[in-house]
Amino acid sequence: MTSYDVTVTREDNLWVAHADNVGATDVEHFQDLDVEVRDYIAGMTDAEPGDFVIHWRYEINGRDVTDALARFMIAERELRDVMAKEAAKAAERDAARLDAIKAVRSAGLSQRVAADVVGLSHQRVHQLVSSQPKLLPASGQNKLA
Amino acid sequence: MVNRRMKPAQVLTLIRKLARQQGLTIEELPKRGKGSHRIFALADSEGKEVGRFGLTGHARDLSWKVLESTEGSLAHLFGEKWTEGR
Repeated sequence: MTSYDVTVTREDNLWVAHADNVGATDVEHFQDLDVEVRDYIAGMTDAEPGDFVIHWRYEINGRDVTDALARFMIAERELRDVMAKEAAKAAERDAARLDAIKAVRSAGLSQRVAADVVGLSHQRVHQLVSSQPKLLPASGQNKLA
Repeated sequence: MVNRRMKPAQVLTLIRKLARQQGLTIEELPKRGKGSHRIFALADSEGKEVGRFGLTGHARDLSWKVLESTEGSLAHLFGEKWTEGR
């Protein structure tokens, strides 16, 4: 895969990215560098933005801060991955919890007991159930507890 | 050598003017990435691409490095100091 060496420097409140053998561009926000530099290189070389690798070097006032920034960005990316997985797990748990509430309610127990089963307040269970289409028995019916 | 800051739109205007003088045409190329760049190709009278440049989407003055890079990349068409001749 083709690779490009890109050196990022700071100039007049802009992040300036110089891609070897391609040219230079600048962006206002650090977070835009990857998208914008890929966009620039792709346009200048007739490549697709995902078809090449960028080797970044960050140089601020003559000081190479690549290692520190690269470590931060890797840690940030890893944390985002973990958070995305956690969010997916939370969504899975929420769906399963709602199913559990419905099952307990369908079996004839009260919302208060369903709340006890899933470890939530009965008000929260009420909110969850109320936000769903009406599939459960009407309140007060088949109450066993 | 670049001696004055310019915004992307000013650079484009200048290149259009110089291209007209040289009998070159400018074509904006289709976007490839998700960024804000506009990429332009310069072609001679036979339609052959003779140069290419990209302009960022922000409206601020371009950095010196970008201006110098753009100037250098089109120097074979407009001369070494074409940004000064506006």
